[in-house]
Amino acid sequence: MKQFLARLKQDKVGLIGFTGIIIVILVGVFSPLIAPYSPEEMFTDHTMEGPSSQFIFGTDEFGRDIFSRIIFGTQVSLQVGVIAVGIGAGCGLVFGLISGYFQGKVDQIIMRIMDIFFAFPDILLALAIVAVLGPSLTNTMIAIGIVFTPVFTRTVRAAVIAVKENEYITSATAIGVPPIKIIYRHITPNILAPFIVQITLALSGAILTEAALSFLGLGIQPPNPSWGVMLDASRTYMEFAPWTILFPAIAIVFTIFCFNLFGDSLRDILDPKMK
Amino acid sequence: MNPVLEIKNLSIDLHADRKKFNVINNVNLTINKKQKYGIVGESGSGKSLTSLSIMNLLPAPLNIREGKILFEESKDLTKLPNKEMLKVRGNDISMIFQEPMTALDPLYPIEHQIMEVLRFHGTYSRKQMKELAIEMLEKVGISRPKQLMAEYPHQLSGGMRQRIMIAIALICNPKLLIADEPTTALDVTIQAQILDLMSDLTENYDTSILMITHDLGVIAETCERVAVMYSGEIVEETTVENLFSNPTHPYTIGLLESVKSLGDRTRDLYSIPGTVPTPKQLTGGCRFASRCPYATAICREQAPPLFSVGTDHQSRCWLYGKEEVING
Repeated sequence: MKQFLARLKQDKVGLIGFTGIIIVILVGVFSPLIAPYSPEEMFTDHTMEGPSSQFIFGTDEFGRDIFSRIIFGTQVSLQVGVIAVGIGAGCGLVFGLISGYFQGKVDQIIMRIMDIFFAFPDILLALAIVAVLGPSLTNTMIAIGIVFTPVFTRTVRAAVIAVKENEYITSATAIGVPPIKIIYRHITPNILAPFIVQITLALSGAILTEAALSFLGLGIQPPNPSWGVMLDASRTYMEFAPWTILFPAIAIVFTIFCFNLFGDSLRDILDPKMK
Repeated sequence: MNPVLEIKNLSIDLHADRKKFNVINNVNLTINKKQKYGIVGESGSGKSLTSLSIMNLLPAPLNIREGKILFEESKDLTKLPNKEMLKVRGNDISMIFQEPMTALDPLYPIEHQIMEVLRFHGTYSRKQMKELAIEMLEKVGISRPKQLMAEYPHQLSGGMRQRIMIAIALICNPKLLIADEPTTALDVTIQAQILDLMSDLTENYDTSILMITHDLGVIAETCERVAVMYSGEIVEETTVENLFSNPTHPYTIGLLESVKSLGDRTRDLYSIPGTVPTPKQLTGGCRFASRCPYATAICREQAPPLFSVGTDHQSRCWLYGKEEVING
């Protein structure tokens, strides 16, 4: 961990991304302390007001403080990101390891199922799953998790097959390490670099997908504050009240940008040859 | 004579395109206790596959069709359940690989890699494992074992890594050490050191060696007995002295010819014409017939058995067909 921080310090771009992510996480955790108002409180005298000293990001059509809603929206975005990617990465890791290590028939079956999932555009598949399960926060996370599983399975499987060819796997087998232990001790750690990079990229993807689903009205349901929901609601007013769409959009862009920056430098940091 | 390992009538098939191709045919060999046994042959002759089959590590499309691999006269390694096999690997039989650069897991420090063997074979405390590991590193000629324990494989040179591989292979005091081209990837100067090290250590530990190589020099330097393999068959089997003083099989003769003597500038480098036939090209006759300068009609039609050509000396060639047939 110490080593990790020391090397992150040398990587300016990665450090920016990392700091950004820390800020986003802190904002999510301490939302109630930071936000000046409740995200659902309506100031009926102040509907559609531009940024002012009272409402720094302005208000929406119901007179709700956009700044507060963005702050609380962070919680939703992070929650969706972490849990959805957790589901996708977890399933993908298991399927990918099985597929890549044992190959043969199991591999064929798993990969063909993943191909079926791959055949659908992400958003369409997520929409279909949400349509079946019904729109809610939990179902959005499950849907995004399922959508992300095939990407992880493929990444992990490809990495496993590459790592498996290395002589240290044969030599671990030759000293009597059982297969499960080989997967756990030698294969999993060696595929971690592409896997973690995939996670950071998927985090931003999940946040984006959640925003898109909410924008389409099938994700988080109003009045819950979600950046996607806010974009959706403000679409109609964007011409004469641009602040209603600008700030949630900036929040999305900032978060995703930070995750991507961090993911990129993480790839370099995790390369064991650079230790 | 106590055989440590006996391979009996081992045949291995390759399954591809829904067909079977024979890659190892009827290999017999016996390695006695403390013996240093060499298998020599060019690429594709099946020497590595033979060694992998001993460890039960054959990759998926390859299957043992028939034969037995007896360890210490009792355990048939081809029929051993996986659980039992795990105990044999690294403990009774261990292996050194060709490529020391990739044979160590890049993510773990050296101590972890050495201690891993101990962890699966026996009950040692962490402290004991560490002591054993340091002791072993000293034995393989590493001058600063304590610092090295914490280093990662990429910080070490090829020769150092191969020393560590030897340490890992010998720390459990195995009965048999299989060395699959252990010096091919190393500098010539390091080669001799590593070979000496292996010879010395195995003598102290009463370990037998099965040395797999394409380099007759390595055989001459380390082994007592040798089998020459060609296209999945043993073509000549004898003591090292016999092989070098009195080679009988045309392939062996060709191999020895192709080792150019230093200082002999009068002749061009000899090479055996052609290449090893792939399993798919095999026909009924002698597998070497297409490249053999002495090939006759019978060679192309009928596969020769191993003939006895002298004391302790067998050769798979029709040239010696009049002698007594000892192995069909």
